[in-house]
Amino acid sequence: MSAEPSKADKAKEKTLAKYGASMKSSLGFNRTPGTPAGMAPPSGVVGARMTGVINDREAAVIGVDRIVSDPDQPRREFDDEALDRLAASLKGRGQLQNVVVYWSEDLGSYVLVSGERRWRAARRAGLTTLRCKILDRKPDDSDRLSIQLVENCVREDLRPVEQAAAFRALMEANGWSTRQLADALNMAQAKVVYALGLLDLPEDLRDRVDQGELAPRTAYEIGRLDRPEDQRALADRVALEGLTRDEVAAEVRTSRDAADDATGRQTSRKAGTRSKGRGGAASGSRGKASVRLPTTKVFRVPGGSKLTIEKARGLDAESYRAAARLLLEHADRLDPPSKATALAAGSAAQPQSLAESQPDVAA
Amino acid sequence: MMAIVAMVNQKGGVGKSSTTMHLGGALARRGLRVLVVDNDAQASLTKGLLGDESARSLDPVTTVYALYAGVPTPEDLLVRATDFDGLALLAGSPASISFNVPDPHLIDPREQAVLRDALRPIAEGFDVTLIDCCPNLQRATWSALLASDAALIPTMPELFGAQGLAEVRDWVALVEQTWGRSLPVAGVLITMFNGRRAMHRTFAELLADGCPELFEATVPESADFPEAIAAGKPIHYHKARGAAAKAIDAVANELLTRLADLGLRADTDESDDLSSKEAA
Repeated sequence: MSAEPSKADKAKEKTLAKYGASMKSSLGFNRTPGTPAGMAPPSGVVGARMTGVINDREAAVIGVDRIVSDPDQPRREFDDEALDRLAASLKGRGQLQNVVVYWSEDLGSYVLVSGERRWRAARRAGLTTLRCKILDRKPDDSDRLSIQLVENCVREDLRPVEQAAAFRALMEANGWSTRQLADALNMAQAKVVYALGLLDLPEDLRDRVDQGELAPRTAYEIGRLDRPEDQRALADRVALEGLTRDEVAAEVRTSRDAADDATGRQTSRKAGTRSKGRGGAASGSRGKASVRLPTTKVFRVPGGSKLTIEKARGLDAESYRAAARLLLEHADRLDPPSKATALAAGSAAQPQSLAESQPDVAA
Repeated sequence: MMAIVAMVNQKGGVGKSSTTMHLGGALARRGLRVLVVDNDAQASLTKGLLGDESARSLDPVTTVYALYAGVPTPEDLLVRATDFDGLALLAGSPASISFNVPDPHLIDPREQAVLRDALRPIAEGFDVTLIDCCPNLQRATWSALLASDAALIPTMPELFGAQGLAEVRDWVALVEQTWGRSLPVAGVLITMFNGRRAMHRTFAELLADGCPELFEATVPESADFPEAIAAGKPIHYHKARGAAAKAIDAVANELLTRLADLGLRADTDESDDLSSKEAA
């Protein structure tokens, strides 16, 4: 297309003269771009909403009938009632967490790596699909175990002892310390330590923890007692008297120290070091006499009231008697004494703990 | 560094599919890893590269359909090798037509971005990805624009063929308005150019004045192109030494230079050196 003042150029000039204006306008030069013809104007800017948001092609919605359970899944028993609850939750709130699957050419199905309970519950609830995270291949055994265990460890519907068992399994699978496990799960190391303590409790006490009768932290304190019968006795008192965790910790210290006193000095020192740093309300003087008393005591009084007694130096028998006297005096002021004693003598409704103190008052 | 280029024009029949095929072949021929994506439900590009029969028998979930439908087909089933070294195809399927809805800029933003999010990780494995688009701005083309680093606009040097240019400017503006990112026009490419026609020369001159992105190189009108497509080959694998192949080479050079200017690729010479070193 070099410049030759030729026939061709003349033809071009002629075309330009004749059609140039309409050609230029049709090309849209010098025109500000606007909304394309026939299209609705933009409804708003999505840039901010979508910045850093990427659709994940590894996630998908998959029919539940296209998914099979992991043939190697260690867990074989599923609590019927819990599955019902999960099914209700899936129905009501929808699926909050993806299950994890991989495609198996051999089985012609997606195989669950984690989420077997959700999958079972989804079928129960009549859901046809599940949202899945798809792994690009079958994870090897240790990976799979870890994925399953990590999921188990952070599940909220897991009971405390189940969670503790998941902690221990994950630590064993990876050879982890409590510190490493806590780091991996991003939780406080103390929580891991308390949880692991549950596993050493006798079965009936573990059940009480799982049923919510015994808080895990309290159960951990109880677990520091050596003999199962002592553990049970203390757990009973938690249920009956409403002992707080600090009270339980104090009781445990008292009884351990008492036991140590009985077996001799060396073990006493050892016990002292063991309980070092375990704080609690009664971490005051520690030494020769060393029978440590609780500083706070709460009574749940039949009839609905609650009674709290506190003494910084520890509550001994005299503290309770003094409190009882005070209470009786208070009652006397509200009610004529003669009538009250007469009633008290025959009253089954008299609070038990106060009734025990009565002989002292009379004396 | 990878670059994704959308081949767009609102006009049909201006040579989008044909240019995608030949340009893809030319780039692959010089040692680049090239992916061509058939984002048009007509599946012309797919038929061109695989043959009619094979193109028709493709399972839609192994085509671009999977990306729109959200089917998690593994990458190795989506990306097909072709008979031409270095040139891979992400096939198109008529099944994807139902996704091609109008006013795509108003649908859920995540749905708008589905092709982008699915394609970009795949395109990481290639030096250049060319997306052949539909001659309209519905969801398929819109998604391609969102997925792309730049647009290339093939246009015919005649009135109807060139009218789409103004429309494409509107599309690009709409991307910026809606998504807040600018989409550069890597080039405007005159196709089916016949230098003997006064009208074609006039158009070329007008475009050169008003259109800064106009490529100097053109795709000439030549019987070799339709022949190559009938043979199922990019021009370089049909008549490698012909004038048509040389013309496409010039287009390829200019495209790579533009992409380098836009910061989307290392300079052409370097990549040529690299590939010849690797070959040696």
